[in-house]
Amino acid sequence: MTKINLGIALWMAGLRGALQYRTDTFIVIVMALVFQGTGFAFAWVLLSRFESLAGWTLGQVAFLYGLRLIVHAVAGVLTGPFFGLDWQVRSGEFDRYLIRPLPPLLQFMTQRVEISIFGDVLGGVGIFLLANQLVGIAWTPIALVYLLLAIVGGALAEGAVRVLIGAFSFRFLASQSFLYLADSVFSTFANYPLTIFGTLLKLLFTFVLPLAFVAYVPATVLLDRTAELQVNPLLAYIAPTVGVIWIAAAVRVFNREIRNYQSAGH
Amino acid sequence: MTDPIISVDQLTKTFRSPKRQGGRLGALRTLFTREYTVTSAVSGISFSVDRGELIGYIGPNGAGKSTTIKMLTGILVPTSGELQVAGLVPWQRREQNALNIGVVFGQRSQLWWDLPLIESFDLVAKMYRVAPDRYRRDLGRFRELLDLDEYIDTPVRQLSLGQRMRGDLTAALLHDPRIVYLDEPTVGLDVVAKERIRSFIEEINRDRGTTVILTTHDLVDVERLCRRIILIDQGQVLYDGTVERLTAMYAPYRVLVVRLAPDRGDSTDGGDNANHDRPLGLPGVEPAGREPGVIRLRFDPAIIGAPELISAVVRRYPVSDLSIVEPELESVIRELYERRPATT
Amino acid sequence: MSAVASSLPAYLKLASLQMQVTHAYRADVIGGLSVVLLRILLLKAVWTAAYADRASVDGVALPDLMTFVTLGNLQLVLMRPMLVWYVQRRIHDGQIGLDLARPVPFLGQLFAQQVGATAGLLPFVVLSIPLAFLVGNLAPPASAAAAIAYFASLLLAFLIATLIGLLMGLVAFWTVQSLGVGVIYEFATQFFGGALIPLTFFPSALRTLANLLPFQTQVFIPVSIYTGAISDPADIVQALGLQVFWVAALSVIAWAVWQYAKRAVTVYRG
Repeated sequence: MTKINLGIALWMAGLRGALQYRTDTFIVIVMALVFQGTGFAFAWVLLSRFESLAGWTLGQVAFLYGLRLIVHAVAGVLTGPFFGLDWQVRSGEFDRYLIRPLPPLLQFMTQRVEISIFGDVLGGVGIFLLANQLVGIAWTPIALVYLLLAIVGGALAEGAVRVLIGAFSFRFLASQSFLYLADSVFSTFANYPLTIFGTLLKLLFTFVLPLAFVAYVPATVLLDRTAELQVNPLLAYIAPTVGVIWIAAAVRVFNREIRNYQSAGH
Repeated sequence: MTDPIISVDQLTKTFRSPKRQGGRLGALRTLFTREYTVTSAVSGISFSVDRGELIGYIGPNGAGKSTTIKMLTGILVPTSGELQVAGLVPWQRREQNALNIGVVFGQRSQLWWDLPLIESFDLVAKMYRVAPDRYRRDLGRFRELLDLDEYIDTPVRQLSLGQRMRGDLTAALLHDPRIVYLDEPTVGLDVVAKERIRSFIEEINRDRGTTVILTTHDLVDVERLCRRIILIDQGQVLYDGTVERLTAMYAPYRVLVVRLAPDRGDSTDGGDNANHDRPLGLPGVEPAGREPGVIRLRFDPAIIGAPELISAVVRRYPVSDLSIVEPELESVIRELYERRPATT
Repeated sequence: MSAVASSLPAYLKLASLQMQVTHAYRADVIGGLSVVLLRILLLKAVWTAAYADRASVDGVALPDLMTFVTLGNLQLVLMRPMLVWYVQRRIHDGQIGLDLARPVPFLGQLFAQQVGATAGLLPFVVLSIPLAFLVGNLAPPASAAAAIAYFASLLLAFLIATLIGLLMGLVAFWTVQSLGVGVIYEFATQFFGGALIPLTFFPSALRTLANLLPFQTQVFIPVSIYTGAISDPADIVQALGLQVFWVAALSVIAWAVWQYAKRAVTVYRG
């Protein structure tokens, strides 16, 4: 059985385990929907009164918003468990991943599935489809392929940040608050065109955190707005590769930091 | 002469953790502090294990047992020293090392908590690439040996400790590992369950030649299963050898328990006072406690043989029954601790 | 009234204990405040872009809008009703019996807990004001009269928030889903309270809906008084009156629900 098949089998097991908790499943999905619903309602009401946001129409903002939510859900597919990494490292529960014949990171990511991703996906797809009604995009095969790449690349970028922050759990035993902070930053700012932010934030979200590549840059490509990027559009087309670079680096750091794992109780 | 399957040389592990800062913004200051508390868990232990051995790895809490096991299994990275398990350095080649070993932690399960037990086995079989027919066959054997059928479809979180332990053992052995590490496998179990686990361990060691490293506080486990023990304390090896040699070194005696015939009265009063230090006037014999109707005599088999002592006793006392008791491992070890040089 | 007076020491004790709990969880408080500050930062960027160099829209100037948004969100942090989580937790831990057995009215206890929690949050919120000023905007009140009226309105808003929190807490006696209700409430308050978009910009249908809900009394009304958006004394009185109405209505509902819950509780315990 190849590693990928194995990963999928483990992930399905994680999903089955999470679904054992029936009541939680429902409430978590509803909460996720409410969370995004408010954010999007804000954008909607704003843009129904104001014609555009830095030149972005309602349809275009909705497009970006929906895309970002889908990316967030996909990122959550494997990186949801990171919020519990702290505890597993401190309690020694992490031991088990080091004594089984699979990469520890893969095992850790598939141990449990965050049900909220299904709420995120529902909301994201809903908003995205709505946006498509408002915005005329010619969905050529190339565009569709790019969309797919953009989603994967964006998810890798957002996920990589979690992996990177989690990597330092082994050394510092505390990563949860930083994970929540990063999550807040992404959830707050990644839904909007980068152009509305000041220079400092623009630089921060391009070079320090890959926030711009989660949805904004690919959206400019699909919406034919690459002119506002002030860089060569070609760089925009290869946006998904940023996610690949980030995740490769993050995984490397994670695996190296495992050496600092101290387990628990002697 | 085959190479040992495990070889450990001057293995050392020290833990450095940042000293927790108190006061205001303590958490933040801890993040940037340069002060560290250094704990030396294991300092320079060396030993080797041959294929098929069943070794007891024992010592008090905090002695460094778990730390050693965690280095052997690849969980922790040693601070210094050499370490080889089945030809690999565990922490450098974790996944390959994992294929060679099975691990059971008595106090922590590695099964999938929310899923039925059988699903854990299926997943483990997939992970270790166990061929389907071999999996079916071996699982069938385990089901029989450990009585798994009654709860194999129950979610792991609903199992009792004994059931879960049997599940963990099965999961660890499904891929027929060459080496098995058992960390407190009988902890918290009742007597019957303990014995079942012990005979199971004995059987896999005997029938499959699986090398077993057993860490335990229960010395009955050791007495029952291990010929060789490694005793560790404060991160260092105190003793490495057979139980017999340990006993010979630190408790080279046996106890003869004499039950006196009741109707003849206790005619032993007063008569032995003159020979209190040497009952029966025999060398190498000491009194070892006295109860009404029972005499215990501790003797050194090197000085006086059992038959000779027994005949002397029978001549002297009205005996209704006799038995010879070996010293308990616990007292042997206690003796060792009392006699070891004071450590810095 | 005398019943309240005799229970006062107990209430104060509960409140001060809850204050300490809030202080113990200051990491979480700081985390929550950081999230709100991030939100304010975003809102500033979005609103600035929306205004697109215009000085004011619909009579609202951008700096006033930012004050609105900043103050509104800080208020929400301060008055966040923890009773949903509190009651849920007490029930889950099996401790609720202790609370019910105390010789102090249960509703009063819950009220005291919320007061304590808010009091515990106050220093953190006050300390974050400079930061909030930096990321958003926080102009001084429109006038001294406005300031006084604001504090009165703020107090009423606190009462309303606490009463709603109380109601949500009572829901926990029936279902675990009360936590979901709590989350929905937080977002509803943000949105319909006008902390994200002042209600002035709402399309008419949505505005009508918002006017019917109590959330606007928690954010929009007090902040409008502060910024002088509501400056006419008659208007201020009307606004405060609306708040008083909600306080009264919610009190009655809360009392009724509690009577019902009491019966459910005794059945459960019996």
